[in-house]
Amino acid sequence: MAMDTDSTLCFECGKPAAGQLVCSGCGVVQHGATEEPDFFALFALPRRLSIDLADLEARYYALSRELHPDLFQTRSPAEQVASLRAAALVNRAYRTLRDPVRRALYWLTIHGEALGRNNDRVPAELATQVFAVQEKLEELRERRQTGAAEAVEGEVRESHALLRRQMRALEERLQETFARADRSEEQAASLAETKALLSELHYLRTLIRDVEQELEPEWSAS
Amino acid sequence: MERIVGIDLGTTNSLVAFLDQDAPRVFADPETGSVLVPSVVSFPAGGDAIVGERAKALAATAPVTTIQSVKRFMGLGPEHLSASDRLRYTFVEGEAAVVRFRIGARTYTPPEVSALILRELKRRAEAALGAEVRKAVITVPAYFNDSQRQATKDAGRLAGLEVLRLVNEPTAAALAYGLDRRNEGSVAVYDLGGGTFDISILKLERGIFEVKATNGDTRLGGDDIDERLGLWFLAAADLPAETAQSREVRALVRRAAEEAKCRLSSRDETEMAVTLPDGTRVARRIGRSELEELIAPIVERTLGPCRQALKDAAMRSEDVDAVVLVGGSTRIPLVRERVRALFRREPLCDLDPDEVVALGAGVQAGILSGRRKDMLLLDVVPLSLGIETMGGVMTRLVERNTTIPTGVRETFTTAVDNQTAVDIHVLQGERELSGDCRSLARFSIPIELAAAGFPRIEVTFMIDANGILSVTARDVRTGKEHSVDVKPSYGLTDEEVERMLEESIDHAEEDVAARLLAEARTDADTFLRQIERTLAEAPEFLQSGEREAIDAAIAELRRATAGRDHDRIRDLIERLNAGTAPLAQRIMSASIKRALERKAASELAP
Repeated sequence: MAMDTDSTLCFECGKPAAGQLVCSGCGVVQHGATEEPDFFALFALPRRLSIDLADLEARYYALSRELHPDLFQTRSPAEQVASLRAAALVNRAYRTLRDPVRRALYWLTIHGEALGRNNDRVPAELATQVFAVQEKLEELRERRQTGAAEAVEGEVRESHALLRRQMRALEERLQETFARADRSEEQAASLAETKALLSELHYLRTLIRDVEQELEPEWSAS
Repeated sequence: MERIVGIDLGTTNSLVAFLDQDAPRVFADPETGSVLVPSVVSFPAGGDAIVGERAKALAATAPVTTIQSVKRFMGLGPEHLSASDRLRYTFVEGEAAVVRFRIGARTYTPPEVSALILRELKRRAEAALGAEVRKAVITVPAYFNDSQRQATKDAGRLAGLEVLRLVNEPTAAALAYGLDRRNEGSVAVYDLGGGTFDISILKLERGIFEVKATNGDTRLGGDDIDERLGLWFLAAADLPAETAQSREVRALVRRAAEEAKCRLSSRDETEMAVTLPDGTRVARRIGRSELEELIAPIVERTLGPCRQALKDAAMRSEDVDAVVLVGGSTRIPLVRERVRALFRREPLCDLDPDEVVALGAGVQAGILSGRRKDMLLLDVVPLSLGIETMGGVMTRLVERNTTIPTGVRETFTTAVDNQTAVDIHVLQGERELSGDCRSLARFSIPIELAAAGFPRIEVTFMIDANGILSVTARDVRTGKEHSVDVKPSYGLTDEEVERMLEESIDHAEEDVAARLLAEARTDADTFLRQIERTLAEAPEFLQSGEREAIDAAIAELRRATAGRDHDRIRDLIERLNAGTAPLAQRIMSASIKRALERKAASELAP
């Protein structure tokens, strides 16, 4: 098996959401085998990148109180299955929308601008920085074998702090871009900018994870 | 009315609870008054299995035929057994995928042994309620993987219980605490039991219990502390190697260690003594500080998962509003001290740490039976799920701490020209390489011939509210959905469970056909009641002609239940169910709409 690089980034939803969640005429949920409703519509929200998280959570809880499979245990099997599907969909939609990066990726997807898996363009400075930090990590690993790793570890901690600051700055810029995109002054420019920011964020996140893994290994049982 | 009980199937002890009016209560043994059933099963030669207190008494004299801590073996294969496991019990080696204990001429899988404990709990609940109990909620460690959860469900089935829900132990404890205190905010539940450790971080808000993150270790608990203390004793007593290696002596030492450990929770010093099979008494004194030195590394192992759970919940320890202690091992002062230091607050332990999980299971049983509508659990999957891709890499489809139920679909392609089939290897775990993750299942789907990179295989993962995964795969180009024959890596197949059920029934008395008919009729009755309720409550969702079609199918099913053909009854149930699926879908859509309207209305209200 291999990842299908031809397909669009199937981050959360397979297709641009065709149609609405609830048909205004008969009230039927529009999710068949492959089609999915728009996650924004699911929460009765406009397709905007800036979201009030407390409001989103309240909507999520309200839906969960109606749809969760726990509430259908005494109902017919068909209703249990429908509840399982609906709750799974709501959970996934909430997970997507509450995180700014996932939300933006999803937003790009429904605008037909999915971020590719392998063709992200990275600014040259960031690429240089990634390279330098990776080298430092390599050095840290070597020093740990031979002892006297403290100095290098200090340097790695410093770059970790710097990366975190860069990350926060990028997240703020992403929020600003969200606001601009929502005003839809320059939709095309916003799309391009969002894409560029997301790929930078993606690289930074991966790098920060690598650094943290080295400084404080993630606890895992397996 | 349907009676659903809540069961805490613990490593050391098990309990059964029921939601009485609005408060859960645990059922006690009418004779001894004890609520705990020791999770011990003894198999005397030529007799029936003995469960509970009497079996525990046999553990020291018949250690090989008495199984303790069976929970630690659930969902495992022989390759997961440790040296100390093999020292303790005899296992069937080789062919089998699932661990099997060898007891005399027979072998038992962990689900079969657990089923005997569940039967005992079922009997206790039935005696107390004066009615048959067929449905249960069973708790499992939050960090249990898919195989371990499946094994627990299988145990329920073998015990004649329909397992309506597997609930995570720390979540159940939070439910009991939430019910008790009506508190809101974030709660960390630290659950150190006999054999497993869990940490869960939850957010409580107006009856919603949302798990933010969970972590743990399914082979870490009081048993490890007893083992450590036992090894200290054997070394301090300086017994001849032959004596120290004997299973009888080890069982005696383990018992003495457990008792000494408990005494040291309230005293500064105690004597640990063992009377060997030859009558010699060996005794050594041990102080609390010595014990603490011995077990500090074990307690330390619980802190990594706590830090990781906080990080995954995007919280710092000071953001946690309350810390709840669950499990017998949290009585140990050193454990409390470490938890207090990590979270910088006094942990809560006002509910009995042995009972709190069962009480929560009782509450959840009440929620499922529709008797409590004000509380709802939103739990998560503890470990990431994915499939093996090129180069032996684990590709994650569902990240750990994703709220369940959840579903995800991903498209894959081939790496080699003209493959006739694609092998799908389902994995669970956090490591990068598939070999380091837990294998859950393997299956193969046939595809049309094509060059590498052209086929598109769509893999769908669905995780239900029990945290149990089902997988389907589809060749996108042909559109053919392949009914997937999943071979569980470390579980029992449906056929094996069926066979075990057959074997456990006394064939001399039993007419299999009569039983199948009776079961089909009961299921048809339940199903018909449910359908009629739906029709009565939601007539506005019916489309023209639909009511007539459903009524005709109902009438046909009713006629069939008067007959003796159980297969026909099953077919008609299936057909009627499929016929009502669109109606169910419409009702669900209306629920979504109503929920959002109600939410909007409450915002307008002052």
